[in-house]
Amino acid sequence: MTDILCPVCGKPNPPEAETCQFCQAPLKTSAFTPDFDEESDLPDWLRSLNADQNAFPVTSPAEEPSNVPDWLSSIGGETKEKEQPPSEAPAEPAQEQPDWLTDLTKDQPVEPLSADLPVWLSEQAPAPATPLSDEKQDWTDGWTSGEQAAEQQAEGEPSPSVPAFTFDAFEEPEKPTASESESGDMEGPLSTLPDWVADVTAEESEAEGGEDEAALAPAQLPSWLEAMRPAESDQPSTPTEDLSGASAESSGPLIGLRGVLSAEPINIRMRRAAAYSLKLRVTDEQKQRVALLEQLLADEPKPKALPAAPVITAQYVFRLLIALALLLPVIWAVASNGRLTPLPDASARPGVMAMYNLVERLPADAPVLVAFDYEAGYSGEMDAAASAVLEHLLGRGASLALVSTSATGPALAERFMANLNQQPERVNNPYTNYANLGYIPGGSIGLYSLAKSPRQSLPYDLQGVDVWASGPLSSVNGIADFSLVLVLVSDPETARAWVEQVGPTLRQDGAVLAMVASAQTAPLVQPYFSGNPRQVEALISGLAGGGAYENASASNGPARRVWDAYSLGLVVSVFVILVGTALDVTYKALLPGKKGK
Amino acid sequence: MKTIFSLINVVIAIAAGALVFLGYVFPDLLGGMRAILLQWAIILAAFALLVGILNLMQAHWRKVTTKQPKAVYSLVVLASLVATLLVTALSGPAGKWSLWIYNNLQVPIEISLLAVLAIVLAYAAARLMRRRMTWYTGMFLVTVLLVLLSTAPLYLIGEVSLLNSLHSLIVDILAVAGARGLLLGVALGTIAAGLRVLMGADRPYGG
Repeated sequence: MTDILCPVCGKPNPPEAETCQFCQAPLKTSAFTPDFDEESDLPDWLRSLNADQNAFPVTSPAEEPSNVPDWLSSIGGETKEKEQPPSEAPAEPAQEQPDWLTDLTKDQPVEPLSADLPVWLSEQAPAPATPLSDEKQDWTDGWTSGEQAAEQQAEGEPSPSVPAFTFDAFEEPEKPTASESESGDMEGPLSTLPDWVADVTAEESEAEGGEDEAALAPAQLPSWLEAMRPAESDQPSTPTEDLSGASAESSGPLIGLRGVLSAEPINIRMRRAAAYSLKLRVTDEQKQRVALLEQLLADEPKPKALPAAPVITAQYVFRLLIALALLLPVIWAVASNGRLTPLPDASARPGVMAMYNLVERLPADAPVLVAFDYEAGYSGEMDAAASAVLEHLLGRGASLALVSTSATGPALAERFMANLNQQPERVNNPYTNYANLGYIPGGSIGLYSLAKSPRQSLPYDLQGVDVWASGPLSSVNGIADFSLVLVLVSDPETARAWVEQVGPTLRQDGAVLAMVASAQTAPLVQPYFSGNPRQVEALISGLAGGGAYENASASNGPARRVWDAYSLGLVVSVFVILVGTALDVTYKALLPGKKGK
Repeated sequence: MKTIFSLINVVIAIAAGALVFLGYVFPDLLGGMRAILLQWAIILAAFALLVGILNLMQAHWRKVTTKQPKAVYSLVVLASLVATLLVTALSGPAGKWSLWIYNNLQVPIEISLLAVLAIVLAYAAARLMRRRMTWYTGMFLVTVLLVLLSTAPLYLIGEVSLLNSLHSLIVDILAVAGARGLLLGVALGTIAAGLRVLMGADRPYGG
């Protein structure tokens, strides 16, 4: 024996099972059929109801057409015809049908409905030939009459009577009873209500329907109602579709039916979700790339180790050779204290001669303002360049007022004067006619203030003595009262500040501004000396200028002591540059492919 | 609040600059005000030097306390500063020990640095043609050699008239011409900078 397919889930079940072993849905209608063995088991109210039903059997309008008005009977007839299933229409074709439709209907073979039923539905269909037992015959007559009416209706015959209710769970919805067809809107609620409530409701609706029909008097239909009468062409006359070739449903609630729309389309058919592994699938090549990336990221913050530079390179050797070539001759010249090279001629240098003449014209005890505005690193050049001038001034009896716009200037001035006094001829007769007034703050503004009021800008010397009260500086009230303003400068900006801030005041009052500048500053001061009128009356440039001044003053100063070394160092420097340039040119000529380092 | 302070700074700077400038134009009317402002500026400059020294001490002290790399040099700076301040305060700026520190520490160190600079410049000039061999490089080297040779009488040779003539051409004419142009540019730049400060377009004081 074949398995029973579940009408709900569609899965096979053994034939003896009453409920689906998968979804627990009932497989047989007997499971829902109440077992009424004896009438005594019925409650009293149900027995009385049954008695009433036997006493007053409900008859359909088709059974007693005389009680229905003509117009209503005609409507009922049309309604019945409408409610006929399409498959039964060819059994009694309407006389008003057109010929072509009649022929078309004749061509359609009429097949019994049971032929299309699936197996499970055929099994659940009630067996019409099975008689009821004697005990059940008396109270189930009504049911039987109801079933007979339904069969008659299915065969196209009007049912003699409509059962009030039925306990048969299997009712084909395609074959409603006459009462259900007449009260179609009550079908839904009745299907959900309990049986006893549905029974009462059905009786009330039939009673109300009977009263309405009795109250209606036969009359002519109004025109608007006539217009609403359905046309004859709307009657179902569609030929029956041949479903023998259609595929049968294989699952779902419509399993086994042919020619129906699938309640479970393929695209939404339930299926198990594909299982995806949470573990990341990484190929060996990807693993290698990840490892390489991690290694790069790990090595990035680490400083790349520089290749160990060789201790001795060609560049290092070349640099060492240049240093030795410059130092050794200079050291030898200083150590030998030779005077093989003559000092420069002062007559060939206008600035030196102007300075010399300026100092020579100064009166005795003339106040001279000397500014030490150079850094300690330039002291080797500046001391040698300015020593002859200051010694000349001190020899002329000038009183020096030492100032500086540099913070280290006062100490530099003290050092300078100490060096002058360390000369053998000055050990017992040191220069004392000078006053170190110290540091001038404010840069250019301080110089301007000094030019306007030197007493107010620098009231005391480094020892805290008021040098303006007595001595040679007591006659000085303004900057122009100095016979000479001599600036020892190594910075072009400082030289320009003196020319711009102090120079105008000096020229206005007929005073003189002179400078001893380093070799690097002299070109920028030269325009002030070369101009007409001169803003700088005299200019000594570097060690060469100091040597020229010593040559003019016939003194044996520091310039003379270092002159041989200075001259030899210049020649060696020129030689080194020439040799290095020749080597580079030759190297590039031999290796034209290598450009640069 | 910050905007108000910035506005006050601008007003003070422009007003002070305008008064000093007008003091030059109208010396009889605003000359006294100009002198007062300049005296204030000198005092502020002197005080700024002290503030700079304190800032230097603070910066190096922070390096020492936070143990930053090469903090030992900061420690040397602080020790030198404190020692010099103490010695100068006790013996005076022209005292014996103050001059000893200056003559035996500061002067030799600075002179040594300049001596190293002379050697480095000679080495760079010797390697100049390897770096860049152009006509301008060659002209620069020729000028350097001529100035070096004509700056002083040659060793064992003495004065060379041709070199003296070339020296006069280079230093007294070419260098002076370039220096004049440079000074003119500096003067124009100074005027422009002064006008920008007076108009508030340039605010070196902040804001």
